[in-house]
Amino acid sequence: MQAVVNAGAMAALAVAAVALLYRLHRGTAVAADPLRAAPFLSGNLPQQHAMSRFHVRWYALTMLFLAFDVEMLFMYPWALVVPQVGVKAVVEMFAFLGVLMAGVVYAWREGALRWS
Amino acid sequence: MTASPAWAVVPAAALVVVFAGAAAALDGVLDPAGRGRPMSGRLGRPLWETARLLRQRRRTTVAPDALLWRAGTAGPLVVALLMAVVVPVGGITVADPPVGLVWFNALDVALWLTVWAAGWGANSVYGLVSGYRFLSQALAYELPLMFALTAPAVAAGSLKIGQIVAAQDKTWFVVRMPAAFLVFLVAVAGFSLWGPLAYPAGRDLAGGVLAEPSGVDRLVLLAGRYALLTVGAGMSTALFLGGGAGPLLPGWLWSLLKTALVLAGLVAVRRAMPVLRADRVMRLAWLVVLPVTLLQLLVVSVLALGGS
Amino acid sequence: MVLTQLLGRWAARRPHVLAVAAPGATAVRLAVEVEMARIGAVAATAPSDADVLLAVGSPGDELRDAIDLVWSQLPGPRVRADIDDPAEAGAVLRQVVRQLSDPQRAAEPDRRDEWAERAPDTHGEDMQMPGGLMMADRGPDRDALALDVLTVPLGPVLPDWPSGLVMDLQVQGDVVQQARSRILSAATPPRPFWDAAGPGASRRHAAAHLDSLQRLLAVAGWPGMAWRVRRLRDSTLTDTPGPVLRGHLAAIGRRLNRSPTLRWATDGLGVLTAETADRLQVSGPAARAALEGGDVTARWRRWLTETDALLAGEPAGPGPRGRSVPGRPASAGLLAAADELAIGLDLAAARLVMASLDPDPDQLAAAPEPAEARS
Repeated sequence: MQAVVNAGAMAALAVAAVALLYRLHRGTAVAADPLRAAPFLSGNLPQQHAMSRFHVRWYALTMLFLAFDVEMLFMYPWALVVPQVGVKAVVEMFAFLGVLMAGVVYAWREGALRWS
Repeated sequence: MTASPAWAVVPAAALVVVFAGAAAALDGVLDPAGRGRPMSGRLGRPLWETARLLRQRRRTTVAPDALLWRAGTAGPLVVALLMAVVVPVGGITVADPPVGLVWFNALDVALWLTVWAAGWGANSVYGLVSGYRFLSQALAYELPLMFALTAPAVAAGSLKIGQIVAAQDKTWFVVRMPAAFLVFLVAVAGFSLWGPLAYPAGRDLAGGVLAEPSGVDRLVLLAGRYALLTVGAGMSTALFLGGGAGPLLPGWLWSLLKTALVLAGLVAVRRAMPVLRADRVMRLAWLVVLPVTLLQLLVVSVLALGGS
Repeated sequence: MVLTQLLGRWAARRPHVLAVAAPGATAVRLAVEVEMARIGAVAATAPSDADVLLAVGSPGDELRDAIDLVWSQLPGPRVRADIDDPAEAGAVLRQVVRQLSDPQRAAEPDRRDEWAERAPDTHGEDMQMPGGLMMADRGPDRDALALDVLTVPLGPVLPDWPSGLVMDLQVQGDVVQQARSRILSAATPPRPFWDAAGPGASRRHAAAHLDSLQRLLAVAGWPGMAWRVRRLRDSTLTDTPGPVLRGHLAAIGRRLNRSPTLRWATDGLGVLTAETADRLQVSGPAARAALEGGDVTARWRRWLTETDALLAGEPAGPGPRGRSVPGRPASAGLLAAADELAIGLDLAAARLVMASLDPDPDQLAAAPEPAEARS
């Protein structure tokens, strides 16, 4: 329980430190309020909002990543029981990882790892 | 490893800030542009820059997503301090929960959100593109990082940082898992937007996620970068370099010395090569680094079987 | 107040300077870079990062407007100055830094909300157009998807970018769909600095290649190496003996050739074929590199080789960018090539390609109709 309390204390300290820095800045900056300016666009005025539906060209990779990421959920508990379960644990986990790596190779062959 | 009272977070945070400042000073010393100038001026760079940013006015842009933007700029510093909770110094740590390693991993993933938000929130094209640059870069380093983190856990049979350090009383894990150690350091540079992995803060796009913030906003973002490097170096000491193990000197001093050494290496690598663009390193990351890390994990697992 | 003064003094130890050069101001720009290094100033990446805005040379109206806009984006404390004479660069910079730490000047209590004066007219449609800006429109993508298209100009104010160049881009995500470059004029027609003829021409052309190389390395995100090349460029313009310069160049060349990470960044990128080079009337190192693979790597290698030959005493060719004919400077072809090669690249790659071709804005602004032979 002490760990949770201490982590909470650090979170509070971090937020307080940032808040204090911002408070200090109000006193030391040449002007306390932020300057409103157009976003920097190499010396041009923006014609549209930058926030837009961004074309994420590596979307296929995110699927691949997700497969491994879910696998990580098993990985951490597995790490604790390797010596107890023995060879079976290692074989099963690396067979699973092998299947995922086969997926990576397939995705590579399909061109998911290059996008420009 | 002894648990600490809640007030221990204050010295822990102070230690992170001191090391981060030292890293920034070292970066100033190594900068070739400062060659021939007095050493005091080069060492003092974090002071000059902090003073400059404390004096500078903040900026806001047209129709920004203010909440996400400010949370994103302050995020890396907060995340670094939260990571520091589980980083031991000798036998002392703020907290040593049974899932300390998972805590570290979860926080480094939280950076995906904060750095992206720091880029997106300003409603600026350069920031927006750079926020997405970070995500694509993270896709390259995150999986190797996760498996590199798993290797010490398997070898120690625990996710508790204290037990991982204790399991290295005979040999440091860097001997058994050099590949995992290297991958971990690269990933630290990756989530700190540092050196060759500073692609999301690229000079080619006017500083990327740094293109819009000024004043204290920029200060906390830059400080967060150095703080992340610092806790990354500290964590590598605990996971791979035996923590506080060493002759003669007390454990806490060994921890700090090793951390300082790793941190200096990370700072120095910035000058050694150009920035790696994510689309160029993606195949390397998935087809070479990832299998090598998995192979490393396999070796560690088989050794763990033999050791039981 | 003691704290404020201390912060002001400390801040002035490392001023961040955004220097915006006009076409034709190469000599002044080089002097400003030297003086900035001398006083320990840093080249700012963006107005948010800048304390000082320098207008270098004599900008024309459009470039002057861009500088005014960037001036409104400097958060402050901010100082602005014009430098049009290489000899005065040091004095102006030192004066500017003094002003920067002056608390009276820094505050600017009467600073107006400049965005309110510049914002486009909203026509009372605030709901659709917060801040008076349009949302992005959609356009077809190479994968036959309809995706948002953003108008993103690169330049004229951008770090490590040719002076006065504007590259108007249409991008989806960060992929360039359309590119069209133009050069903003200078107030007075410039005399191209690098195109020297006569006895000192070899040195001048060698320095021109080194100037291009340092820009490419800076764009590639290798500031330490860019700094080394910049120093070598500056020594090349002095009377340092050729063998000394060649020694430095060889050391730099070894580092570059042995850097796998630089090769990852530039190999196979922006391939300019010999046919395209011919069609666009590209001559000079870029055309010769087209026979050696034609990618960005081939072009920076070409710069290294030709710089070394020039320093060894080989007679200078028609110009560092190649042969110019009346009405069509050599750089016009390079600019057209950069536009063609940028299509389908992301912004980082497009910038590397532009830097590897490095059209000389002095030439383009000096020509009466730089874009004439295109399309």
